[in-house]
Amino acid sequence: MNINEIKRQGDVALIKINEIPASAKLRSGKMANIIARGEHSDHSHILTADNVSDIEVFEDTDGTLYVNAKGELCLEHLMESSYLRGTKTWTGEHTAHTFPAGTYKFLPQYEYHPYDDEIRRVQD
Amino acid sequence: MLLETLTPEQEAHIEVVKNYWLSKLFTNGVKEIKKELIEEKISWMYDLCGYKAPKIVYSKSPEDAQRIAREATGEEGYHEFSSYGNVSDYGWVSFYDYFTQIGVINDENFNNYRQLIDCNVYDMIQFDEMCIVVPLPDFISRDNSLRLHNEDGPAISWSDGTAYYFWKGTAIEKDWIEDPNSISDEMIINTTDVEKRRCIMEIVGADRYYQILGGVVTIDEDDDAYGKPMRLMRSKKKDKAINDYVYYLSVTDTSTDRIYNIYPNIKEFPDAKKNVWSAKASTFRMTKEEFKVISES
Repeated sequence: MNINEIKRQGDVALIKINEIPASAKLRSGKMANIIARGEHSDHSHILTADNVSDIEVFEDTDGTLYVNAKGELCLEHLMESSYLRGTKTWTGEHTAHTFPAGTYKFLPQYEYHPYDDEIRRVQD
Repeated sequence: MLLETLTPEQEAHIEVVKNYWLSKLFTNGVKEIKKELIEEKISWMYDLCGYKAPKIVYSKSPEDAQRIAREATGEEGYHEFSSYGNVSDYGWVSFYDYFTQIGVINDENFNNYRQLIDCNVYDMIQFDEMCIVVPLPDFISRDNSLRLHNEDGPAISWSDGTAYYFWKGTAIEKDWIEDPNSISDEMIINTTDVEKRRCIMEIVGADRYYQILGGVVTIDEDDDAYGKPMRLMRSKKKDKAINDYVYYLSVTDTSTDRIYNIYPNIKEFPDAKKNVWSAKASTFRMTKEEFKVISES
C-alpha cells in the first residue's frame, strides 16, 4: 500500500500517511481501538491484530485519529459488546480490510446538511 | 476432562443445545417467568456479589421496568439494565451449557447462572435492594438474515403493548410502518441518521422517496469500482428555505447492496454539484483526485 492510498469500510476509511503528528496522544484502554461506533446499534469499526500490542491509536487535539501498526493491521466491523467481552462477532455487513505495518490516518465520512448549513459526521 | 474428538452423538448434540437457546427467545407466545426458581437464583447471584437477597419486582416489559424503577427511586431518566442476567448471555451460556451437558465441565457457579438465565428472563434492572425482572417478549419478527424486521407491525413486543419497530435490524419510528403515508419531506430532512433515511427509502420505495422530497433530476451517474451504481441528483426546484437546489448522492454499499442517500459536501467542494465521483470524494473531504481508494466494503 502506497502513501495516500485509501481503504474504505462503510462510513470510515484509513489512508496511509508518512507520519503521525507529534501533537497526537496515545489512546489507552479497552475502547482505544474502537475507531467508530454505531449511533443506534452495537456495530463498530474496530482495529484488530494477531498481537494487539502491535496497534497504537493516537488522538490529536482536534479529535483526528491516527494508527501506528507495528505488524499487519485489520479493520473489522464487529459487534462492540462482543468485542469488549473478548470475542469477535462480525456484524455480517462490511467485510474486513487488512493493512501492512505502517502509519495511517482515520477518515470519517461527512455530509453537508443544506438546511442547517453544517458539515457533520455521517451517522449510522 | 479433555476430549480430543467428539462422538457422532456429541456432535449432534451441539445443534440440540443451540436450538434450545434460540427457540427459547425466538418462539413466539407468552413465556411465563419461572418465579420460584428465579427468586432462588437472583438471591444466589446477589450473595455471590456480597449483597443481601433483594426484593424482586416483576415487570411486564422493558418500558414497564423503567416506570417501576423511576417510581421506586424517585429518579427520572433512564435506568441501566443489567450487564449480566439477560438474553445477551444466551451466546456464551449456551457454549458452556453444551460442554456441561456432555460432561466436560461441571461448575457450580455456572450451573446456578445457567438456571437463572433459563428462567425466561429478558433483562433486569438491578439495584442493591431491589431487582426488577423483565419477561421475554411475546413476539419477535426477523428477516431472512435474522435481523429484527417487520414490514407490517412491530418487530418485538410485550404483553403490555410495549413494542419496538425495526427495519432490517435498524430501529425506526412506529409511524413509518403503521402509517407510511405520514412520511413527509420534513420528516426525511429531520432524519439525520443515514441508516434511517435508507430505511425510509426502502419502506416507501426510491421513486416515492424523491417524490416526497419534491422530485429530483439526475446530474451525473456512473458505476463505482465494484460495478455498483452511483447517482448525483438535485431537487427539481430551488428550495425556498435555502434559496438553492438540494443535492443528493445515491451510493450502493459494496457489501450489502444497500442504497444510501447522502448529502454531498458541496460547501467545501463545489465540484460535488457536477460530478458523481467528486460528490463521493467530497464526503471524505477530498477531491476526486485525492480520493485514491484501492479497496471498499
